[in-house]
Amino acid sequence: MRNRFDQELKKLHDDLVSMGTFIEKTMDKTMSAFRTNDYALAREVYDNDDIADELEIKVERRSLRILLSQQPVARDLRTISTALKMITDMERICDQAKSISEIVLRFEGKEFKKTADILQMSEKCVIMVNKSIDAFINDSLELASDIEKLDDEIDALFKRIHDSMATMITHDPNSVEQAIDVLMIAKYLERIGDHAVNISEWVVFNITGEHKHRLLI
Amino acid sequence: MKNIVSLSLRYFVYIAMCLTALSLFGILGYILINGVMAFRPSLIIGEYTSSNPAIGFSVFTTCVMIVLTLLIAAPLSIFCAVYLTEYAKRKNRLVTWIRLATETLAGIPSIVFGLFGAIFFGTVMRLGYSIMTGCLTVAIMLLPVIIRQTEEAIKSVPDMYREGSYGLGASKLRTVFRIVLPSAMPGILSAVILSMGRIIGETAALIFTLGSVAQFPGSLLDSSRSLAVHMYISTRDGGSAGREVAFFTGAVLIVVILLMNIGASYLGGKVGKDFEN
Amino acid sequence: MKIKVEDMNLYYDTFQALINVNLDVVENEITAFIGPSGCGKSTLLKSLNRMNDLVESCRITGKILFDGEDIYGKKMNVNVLRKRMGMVFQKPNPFPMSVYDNIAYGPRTHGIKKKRELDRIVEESLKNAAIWDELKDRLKKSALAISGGQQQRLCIARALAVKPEVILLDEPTSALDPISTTKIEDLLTELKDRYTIVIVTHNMGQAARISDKTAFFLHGEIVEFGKTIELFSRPKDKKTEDYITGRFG
Repeated sequence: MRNRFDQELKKLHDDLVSMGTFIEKTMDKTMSAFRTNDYALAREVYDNDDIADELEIKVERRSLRILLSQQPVARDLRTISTALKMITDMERICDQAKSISEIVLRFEGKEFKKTADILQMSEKCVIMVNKSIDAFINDSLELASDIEKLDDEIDALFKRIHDSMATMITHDPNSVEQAIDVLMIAKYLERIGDHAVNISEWVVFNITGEHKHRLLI
Repeated sequence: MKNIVSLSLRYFVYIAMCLTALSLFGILGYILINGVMAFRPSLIIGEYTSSNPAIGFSVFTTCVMIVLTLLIAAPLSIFCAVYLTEYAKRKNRLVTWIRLATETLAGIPSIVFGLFGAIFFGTVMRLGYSIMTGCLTVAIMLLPVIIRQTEEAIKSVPDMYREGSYGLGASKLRTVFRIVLPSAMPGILSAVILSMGRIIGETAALIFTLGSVAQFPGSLLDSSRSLAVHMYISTRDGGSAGREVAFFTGAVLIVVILLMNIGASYLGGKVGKDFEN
Repeated sequence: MKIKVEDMNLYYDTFQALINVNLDVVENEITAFIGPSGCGKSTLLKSLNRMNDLVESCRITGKILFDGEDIYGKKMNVNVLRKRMGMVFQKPNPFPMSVYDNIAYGPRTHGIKKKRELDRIVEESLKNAAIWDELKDRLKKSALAISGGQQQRLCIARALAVKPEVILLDEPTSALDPISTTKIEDLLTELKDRYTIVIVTHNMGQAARISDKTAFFLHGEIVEFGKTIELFSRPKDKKTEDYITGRFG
């Protein structure tokens, strides 16, 4: 029964998975470019931003077509709305990754000192994004609930980096430029964390109909 | 091959149509022409004598018979049909028997009815040869016909009309008389018109019951001749002059039936329209 | 509680068409019955105003209470019951008479004879059914000459003319085009303030659009009954979910 509809939903899911995989790879590349000063990789991330936009449009188009032609209800309706909301966050993650790559590229040929905190933060961020995508692919409430904890850690790290950069600037006025860049990268990472949280929240909605513990439908 | 078959089928259809039309118009034309040639004014207005077998009285008798027979047969059979279709339960024994009886009666030759009418109405009820005996007999013959057709007409009224009426809280009686019967009226009317044809055309049964006295009936208990009976007797007894009169009577019959059909279809259309508008 | 169905079973000869049905219809709400063909939803609807009485082999156990009164009880007058619960059918079924006579048929049935009174009822009913403007110049015309959508609204007006408390509708838009359907749906949501409405529909979008409560029927049983929004977003029963998402069968 309802073969065509199920096929459409399958295709939509596949599109979302490939978008998710793309985000994961982008995050991975950005962070390894940042850690290893791999400028070629950073440039690749910077140039590949269009792909995320394309993937987003593809999902939007398919979702709207399904809404138009199938008038989904119940679980199906949640699936489509989840897709439409989630891709915004996915696309934003790509934007932030692009911004980070931009900063990395600015340091080409210069020395860039990375603190343990910012390295840890970047690793956690990659894990968070991976988990949120996995939560979606596996329809897993468990994975989704892990992400909130990770986000708290990220927020704490951001606070620490913020404070340490402030101290650094007061002690060594020459390091202002670098301190600001590190802070910006930290801010981008913190935003990426928030988007991952958003994704996980939509995963929860997809399963339960509740968003941030409030019943939407 | 297919072409040949379809072509020959087509011609066969044309030929069948032509033959039918020819024979119908041929008969009508033959009777009308012969009838008109036999026409003398005295045949209509004159008194009936052996030298002038006028048919005025017979036209009158026929009209009286039509009205009286329908007055007896139509209400009886229409109400019977209403009972059978609307009131009786589907598996009711009585209904099965009534159905069987009406179907059997419909197939019996009219002369049998004539015999029965002559004995029962004529002898037992002492009505003798009379218009009354004739009408009662023909009325019985008509019962199955009108019942069957009225039943069909009532059955063809869509159930959704009944549901609509019941749904508004109308009783069964109101539903039947305000919704079902008016909707079935065109069908019922056509049944009645058809029976008029049967009354006019009936001969065998009437010879036994109405008798064949050539006179203006003074009362319903008098014997007389309907047009069809008159035709029969003129042909049998009148020699070549009688045949002429028979043709003339036939022509009159055709005209009467034609007028009746026109009138009835006008009336039917009007009733139907009244109900719809 | 306008109508309360309690442990109701319905049989046609030996076939059980409704099994242990329990249902509450709340006043001034639209209650929708959905389910596949032959699931018993229309049968239940027709039991509410005892239209099933017309089916000889139909037998019912259990209770249907209308304003607390057992409609199958000895004191219940069927004609009065049907007057209080108007019914609109799947196919528009105006009587083959004028628009005016169609509306006046019900009131006349219940003893209203005065021309002025009837005129007033006809106008009021047609206005309530939002079709007065379209038909006011054609009151003497045959009701069969108007469009299918107008005929169905005329039938609603005809039902309103006898001042019912409940309106039962059996797939009222299944024979109509989308525009007429929308008009009738709008009309029903308007009427809900003054009447209690029960509607059988095959169109799940329609149930979702206009009803407050929805009952899902399957094989003569109510599988799920609850608020429409909830039933269409988070159905509790797997069978309901399969049906409303079109994966049934």
